Amino acid sequence: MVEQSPLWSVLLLPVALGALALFAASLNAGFAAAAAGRPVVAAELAGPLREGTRLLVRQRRRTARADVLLWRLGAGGIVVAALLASAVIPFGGFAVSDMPVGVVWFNAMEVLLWVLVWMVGWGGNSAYSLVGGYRFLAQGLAYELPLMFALTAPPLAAGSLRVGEIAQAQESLWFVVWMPVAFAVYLIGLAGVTFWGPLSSPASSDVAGGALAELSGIDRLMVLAGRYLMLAAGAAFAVPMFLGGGHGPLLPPWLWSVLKTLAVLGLLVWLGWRWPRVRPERLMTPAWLVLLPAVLVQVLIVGVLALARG
Amino acid sequence: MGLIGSVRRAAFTRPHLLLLTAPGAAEVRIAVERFARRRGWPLADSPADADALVEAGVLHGEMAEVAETVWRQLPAPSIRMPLAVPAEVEPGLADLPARLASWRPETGEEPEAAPELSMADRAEDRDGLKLDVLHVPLGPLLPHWPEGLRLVTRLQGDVIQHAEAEVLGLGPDTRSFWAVEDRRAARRLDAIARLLGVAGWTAMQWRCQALRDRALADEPRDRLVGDLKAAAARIRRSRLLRSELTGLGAVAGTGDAADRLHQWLTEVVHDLRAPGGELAGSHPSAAEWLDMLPDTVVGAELTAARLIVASVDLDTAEAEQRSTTGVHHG
Repeated sequence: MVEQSPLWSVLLLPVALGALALFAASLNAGFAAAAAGRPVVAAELAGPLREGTRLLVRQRRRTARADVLLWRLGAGGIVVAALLASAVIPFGGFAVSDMPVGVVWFNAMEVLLWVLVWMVGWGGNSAYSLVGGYRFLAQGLAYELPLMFALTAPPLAAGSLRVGEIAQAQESLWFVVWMPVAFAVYLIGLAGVTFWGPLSSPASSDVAGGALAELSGIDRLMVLAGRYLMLAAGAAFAVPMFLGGGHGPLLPPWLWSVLKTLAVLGLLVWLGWRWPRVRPERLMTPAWLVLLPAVLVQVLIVGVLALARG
Repeated sequence: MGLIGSVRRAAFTRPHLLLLTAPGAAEVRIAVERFARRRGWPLADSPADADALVEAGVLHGEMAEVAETVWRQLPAPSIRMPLAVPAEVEPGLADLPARLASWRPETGEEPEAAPELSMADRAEDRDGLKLDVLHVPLGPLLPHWPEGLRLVTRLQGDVIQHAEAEVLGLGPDTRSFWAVEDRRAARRLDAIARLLGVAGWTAMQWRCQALRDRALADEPRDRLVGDLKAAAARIRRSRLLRSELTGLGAVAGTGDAADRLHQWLTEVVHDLRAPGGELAGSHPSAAEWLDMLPDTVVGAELTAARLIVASVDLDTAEAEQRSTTGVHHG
């Protein structure tokens, strides 16, 4: 059973999630160095720290007639949403809050990014950043529904929306084994939420950085950090949902949770470098004609099996 | 002071560069790209993320005005760095981290108020609904964009309803870097890298840039051809890239963007094996492309328009000074 952690663990959560996010950013910097033909040395892996320092000492620039309130709420909000989302994730036997509707909570926090990223794009009052904000919404329309159905499969099998109980239900068999489609759709959705890899068009260089185009200094740091935090939270959430939570031989459960999270993060970062971007207007057709039916069939199979097992 | 100083030095060990290239100054741009790739200095997507405005080549006329406007948009601390010739690139950029770390604001200079922006108009869209219209110039300052090209567009949502193409900053001494015949393979590799950059395949973009630099450095052809074939095979194998490009910017004689990419890949391998010789297929000149571009991008979504522009290998230094227009019919 997952225990409710003591109250001080609220303070530990940002540190733990920050460390995971930093791992993902460092790994990404390592992949960038390798792709550019540079040796992957410590100075490359320290890239995110250097970049963070740089953004902290730079001027926080404003554009003409920017919607400053929405702009800054959006930038800061992404960090907050990622931290709130991670509150329900159990690391081994402990979660900051193992609430009865944990899965719904995570989904709700992840959907907050719809408005937050759009606010970042809108607030800058420039055509490119606005296009970036709307690209996020357009992609959201494509991936969100398949993602939500993918998130219903594990609770259906476990008979609970409590994340801890879902992890508990995988003691003998990981859910990824009999719900591979739901897991794959979840990873695609996570790439969409964090505008990652092939789904990075909301912040891509073809529109001068899109939603990020006008951000400088600490505002830019907040959005970039929030994006990695959300990626880390999403990877950590996949562990109790699909990968057996803290279950595993020899090592303590919390260590299994961390190792599995790092593996999912590594997979996402690696995949992000492998493919070109998908044009945002072309995402809708495969998402609704292929992913949505596939994940519905997956949920049906999970439902029948769950009934059969009684 | 010691602590602040070392923090600032650490912060600017890898400055972000914003590249603004004059038509014909591809050699300077390539030198900057090579420097940045080898040292891991990122190229900024927009002024907000740039520590230095790098002006590659001599900026004439309107390009100089563009540089002036862009320069005012860089957040502090920032350095403006004109690099007229390739030999200036290494020493100029190598100084940059130290100059940024010791940067002090210039006193007595009041920032000018930004010009008032116009509000969006409204007009009927493709489905006959009233929708906002924005006038957005694409270029000349955009990542992976032809030097000096400006596409003045009317956007509804992110669909281009009207476009005019012009080339800025052509001077009396503007010469194409690519006019030399044995640079043809490098030119194609440059175009391939640019298209892959727009398509978001960064790893392969850098790989093609490195191949381009090797082709320009007159390295022995045998090894280069081998590495090139491996990269070309990898690009051809990508079904996602092919499906992203298929049907974009179809022009009689050259096919669509996917066809042009495959044509380039074939040409590069062929050119490196036996330099010179006639090219198979149709290769419109810069003037012809400038004529065709506006009509080709009208009706396209912004992403598609960017891919179309990157798929035509437009050498702006060969263009004469004028502008062309395309309007959405129906």
